[in-house]
Amino acid sequence: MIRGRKEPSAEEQDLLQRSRKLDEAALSAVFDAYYDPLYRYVYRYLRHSQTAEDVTADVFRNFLEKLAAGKGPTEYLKAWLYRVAHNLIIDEVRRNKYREHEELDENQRASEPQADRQAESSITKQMIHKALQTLTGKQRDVLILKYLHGFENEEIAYTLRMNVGTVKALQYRGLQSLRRYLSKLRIFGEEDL
Amino acid sequence: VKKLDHFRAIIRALSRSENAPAPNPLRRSSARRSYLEHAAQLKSKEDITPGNRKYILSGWLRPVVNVGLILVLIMGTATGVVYAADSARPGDVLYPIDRGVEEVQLRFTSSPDRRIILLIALANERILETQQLAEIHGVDVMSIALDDYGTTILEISQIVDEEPERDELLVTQIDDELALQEERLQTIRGKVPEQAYPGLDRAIEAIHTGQNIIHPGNSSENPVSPAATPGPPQSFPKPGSSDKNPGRPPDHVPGPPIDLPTPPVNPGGDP
Repeated sequence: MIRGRKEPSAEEQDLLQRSRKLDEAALSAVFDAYYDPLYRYVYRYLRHSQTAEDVTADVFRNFLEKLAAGKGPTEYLKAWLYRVAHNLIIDEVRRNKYREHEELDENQRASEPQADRQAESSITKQMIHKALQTLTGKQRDVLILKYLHGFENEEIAYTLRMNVGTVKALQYRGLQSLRRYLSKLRIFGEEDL
Repeated sequence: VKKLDHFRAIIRALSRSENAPAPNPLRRSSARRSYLEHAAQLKSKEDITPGNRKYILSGWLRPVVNVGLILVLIMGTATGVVYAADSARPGDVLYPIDRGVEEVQLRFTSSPDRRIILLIALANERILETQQLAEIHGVDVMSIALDDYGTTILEISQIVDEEPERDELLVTQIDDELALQEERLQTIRGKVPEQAYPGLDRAIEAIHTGQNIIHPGNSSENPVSPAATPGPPQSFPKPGSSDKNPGRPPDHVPGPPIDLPTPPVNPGGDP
């Protein structure tokens, strides 16, 4: 139970109720809505597209099996899926310590922008990404869910099994650290920061 | 929110910093197909087994049914144990349960006449236990049954003594039973080793004491003889039995002449 929680949307609740009955249309809708964001979330941690795809597929397999057993999410569908993904990421990282370094795979190479403008944008992204690596694991988790996946604080609290107050504190401290780091690199002008 | 306003630029940059590539469309569609196939399999399994209990007994009904089943199980087990304990003898694990059940029966028998009838039946059961113990050479625990027997007889006599106007027929029946029980005890005494004598003698002494309490004016050694008492003999039911007239105990055998406390001259021989 989440303290000071926000109710999930009616649409998400309806989707969840139908999914619990293993309704094919609802399950398809869940897959279509969450596969890509989940994949990106997983990829950001594992930096390997094929592994990220496997882990994302495992999230959905887990989802189906829990539903068939009468378990699974009861109210927060999105947060539940991300929580499972988060746990699988932790398992995967533990299993594959060798992949601690960042690995640029085929997809990433193919997606590298060629034009100067794109190159500039890419450099900023990489700096942000490096800046994120300087944060603590929990600060990074909170900021990624909040600003890259559009989570509410309550959903982050559910996903990462912490209370909303902790989420807010981690968010604030994470942003402070990011600003400090990026100002040193002069990525942003002082007026921006 | 005000605090976060200071970070607007960073938040904006962070939101645009997504650098994960799009998933491979072929692998994505393959994953989708597998996912939906898996869902269909799970759904068909659920359709095949619609008797999934968690859906039949939902909500508050499930704990109620569970508690009911547990109660039935407990009651069934308890009934079985009580039934088995009925034939238990001193020294058996179930004997205390047998005695406990008898205590409960006595507690729920408030009428003095009914209580006397029940006590006589219990006394007969103690003698039967003594007889069985004698047959299996359980002399060391025989005194438990015999002491319980003595206590029962004294309780009968006290109940009779409390009400001098007790029904004549009932008193006669008590006399008959006591005489028969004494005969049975004497018979047992002729078959057991000497170490069992003290217990048997105490039980026989209890009969005499009881007879003296019931008939204060008559203090002879053998105050009541079954043959000398008028009226039809009444047999007493086994405790817990619904049969009102089950007959005398089948193991009743007339014993040797009653000359306490002298031990039998020819133990085990023909009377």
